[in-house]
Amino acid sequence: MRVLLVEDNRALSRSLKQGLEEEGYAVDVAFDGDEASFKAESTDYDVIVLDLMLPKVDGLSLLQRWRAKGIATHVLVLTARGTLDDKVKGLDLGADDYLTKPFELEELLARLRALVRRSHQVKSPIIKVYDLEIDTASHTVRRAGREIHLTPREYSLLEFLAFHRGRVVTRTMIWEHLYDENDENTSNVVDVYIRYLRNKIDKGFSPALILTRWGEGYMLRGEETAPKEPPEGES
Amino acid sequence: MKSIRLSMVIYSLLLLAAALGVVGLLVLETTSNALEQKQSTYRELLCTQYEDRKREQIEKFDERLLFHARALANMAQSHVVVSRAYPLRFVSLGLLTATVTPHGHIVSPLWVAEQTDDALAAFLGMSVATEVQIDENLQILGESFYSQIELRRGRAWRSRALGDRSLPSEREQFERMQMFDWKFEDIELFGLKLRRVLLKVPVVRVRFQPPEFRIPARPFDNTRRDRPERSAPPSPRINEATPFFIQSAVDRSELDRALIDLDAELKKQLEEADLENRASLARLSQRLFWISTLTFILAGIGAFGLISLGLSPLRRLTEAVSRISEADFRLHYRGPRPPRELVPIVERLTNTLAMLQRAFEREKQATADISHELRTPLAGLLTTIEVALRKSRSAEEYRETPSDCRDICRQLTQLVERLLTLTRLDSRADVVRREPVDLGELADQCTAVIRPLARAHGLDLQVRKETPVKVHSDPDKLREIIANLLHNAVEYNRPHGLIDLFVKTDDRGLLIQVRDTGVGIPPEFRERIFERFFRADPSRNSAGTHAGLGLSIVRGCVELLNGRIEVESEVGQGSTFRVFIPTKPKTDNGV
Repeated sequence: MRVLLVEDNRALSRSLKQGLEEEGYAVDVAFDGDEASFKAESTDYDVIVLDLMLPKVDGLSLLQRWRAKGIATHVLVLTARGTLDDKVKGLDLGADDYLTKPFELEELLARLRALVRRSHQVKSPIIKVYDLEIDTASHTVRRAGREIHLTPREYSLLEFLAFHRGRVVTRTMIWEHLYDENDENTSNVVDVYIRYLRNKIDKGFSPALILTRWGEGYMLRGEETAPKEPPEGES
Repeated sequence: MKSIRLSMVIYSLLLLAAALGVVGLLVLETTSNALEQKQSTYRELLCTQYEDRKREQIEKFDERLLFHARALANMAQSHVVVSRAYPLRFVSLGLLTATVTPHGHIVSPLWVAEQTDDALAAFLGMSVATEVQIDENLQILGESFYSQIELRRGRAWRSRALGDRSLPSEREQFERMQMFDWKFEDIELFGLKLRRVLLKVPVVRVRFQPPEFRIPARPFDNTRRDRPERSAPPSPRINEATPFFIQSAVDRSELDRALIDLDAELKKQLEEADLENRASLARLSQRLFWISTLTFILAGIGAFGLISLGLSPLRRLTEAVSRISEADFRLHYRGPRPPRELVPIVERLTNTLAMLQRAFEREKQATADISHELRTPLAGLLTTIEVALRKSRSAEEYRETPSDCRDICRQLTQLVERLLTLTRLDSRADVVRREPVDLGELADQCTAVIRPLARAHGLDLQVRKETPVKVHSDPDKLREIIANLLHNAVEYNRPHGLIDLFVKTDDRGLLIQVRDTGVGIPPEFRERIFERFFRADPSRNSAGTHAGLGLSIVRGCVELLNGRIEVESEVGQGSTFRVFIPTKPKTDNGV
């Protein structure tokens, strides 16, 4: 999942970026309003973490501008102002959630997970595909009751596929949502991770859940129960 | 809690009740006195009237009695018959004269007396007269009178009513009385209450007459001696004459009854008068009571209304005050202008509230700003530590965490220091301690501190002094001013820019001037740069240590020293801050 972190305090920004990345998020940072505005308009983020008191353009104005332009990305507002007025105003202007500084990292992560789920119209924290269970809360994956250990990046890839299950996702989409602005785009990095994931998810299980659409991308099966047709195009 | 209106109503009603009570009592007292007086006059009048009537009754009664007695007297005077003396006519004197003188029988004294009717004969006759003959059939004498006529010699006549009884002779009283005099008295006799008159009249004519021959009495001539003057001296002749002692008594029960009736009537009238008096008093007091009650009620209602009306500005003020809230500090006094008594309160409240609101808003803003400034580094601290603890890391990675935390803590410490400085300035807890200061030395000290920072930003820092630079002022405040202005100049300068510090003194005060070649301040922000947490360009010092408090502290110190601060700036060219602080005692009248 790709997150835009808008925070002018360098120390906080650095720590948060590290914390989020270690959770498997791809994090872009912006230190002022203009930068944030540009990045949010040019990239499709899954979630934006927005501080309100920002240099140049303040957070509420940004929020208003984005909503006016039709950018529907879920926004979690981070602010030092904890008064009710500020909260109401923030939520009224289109914020999806609100967190007052200082905050617990766990809480921020939980709220981010919830926002990501919401952005993909998933309510339950557990996504099921056949006998594959993905617990988005604890980031654990089971297949046929057996726990499968995934690295954060592998997990993010699987989660992204799961959120788009039954639909084809392109390599670019995967790239855009799993890697931040500083990662170098090497042509086969997505394919490499898909292979890692298949080794862990599909190897030794049947049917294979991650499908390849030639010339398009990849797809996770969308049905929760038995497949209606035999799997096609395995690789 | 007592309501003013209620207590005022109660007090005025109490006052009114007291006044009404006093007036009512006075009126009642005066009226009852007047009535009493009138009543006693009336009583006196009535008593006198009845006394008169009683006297009249008695007089009438007495008159009748006296008239009777007189009538008797009149008759008696002319009907004295000396029957016992008759034989003496011939027997003694006649015999004597007949024997002594020839033809003596002719000059017999009685005969002479009878013929001449002179005093001697009368005297003689009266001396021996013993009987009075009165025709009791005359109507005038009445039947009910107990009458008795006496002569010196004895009882002469008794009325038929007396029968066998007789009245006491009262000779002594008679003897003391003068002739023609009369006297009334009440006696009790025969078991009756009687009114009696004693009348003493002279015997004026005596008739010698044989008992068997009685002439009828002549009619009583009342005109001759009707009402003798009591004071008139009786003629010596009469005085010496033989008197009749006439008593006439009559049962006075009729009179008594009349008198008792009169008394009863008087008593009744008096009682009626008393009753009427009491009734009119009662009516008066009742009327007074009702008038008082009505007045009291009306006055109570009036007092309630008037006091309510009078207190309405106070009520409006209360309403206005109760409408004051955190959201709206203004005093909305509705209705007409407040009365003179309330104007100071309203004005004072309005001013105080305006001040309060400004203070409140400043405070709110400051609190929000402070919380922001404190919370962000705290969030950074917390997140740094949490991230570090989430999983096991290499020693190198672990070392980064406390290092990051230390930086954040330094930032926090400086922030807290500045906040405390500002708070002290705000609360005026700082006292100005003036002492001789070398301004040039102070400038050198400050530049020495700031120079490394300036160098790190690639800035050139120069100091100029104009001698003499010795002043009498507070070195701490001056240091705060110079240091913060220099910091500001560093923060907002452009790379490879210049900072110029210039200090000088003259006889009016001292001047500190800091010029930078930074971004400058747009005119619309010139006034606001001294507000705390205000940043003309926030991006500039987002990671800085000023946190937008430096210029606030400068202004606070300058104000404390009664100085003033000026800004000159051109966007893109740089700014010049000029601080002027008076050192002359005459302008130093503040702290």
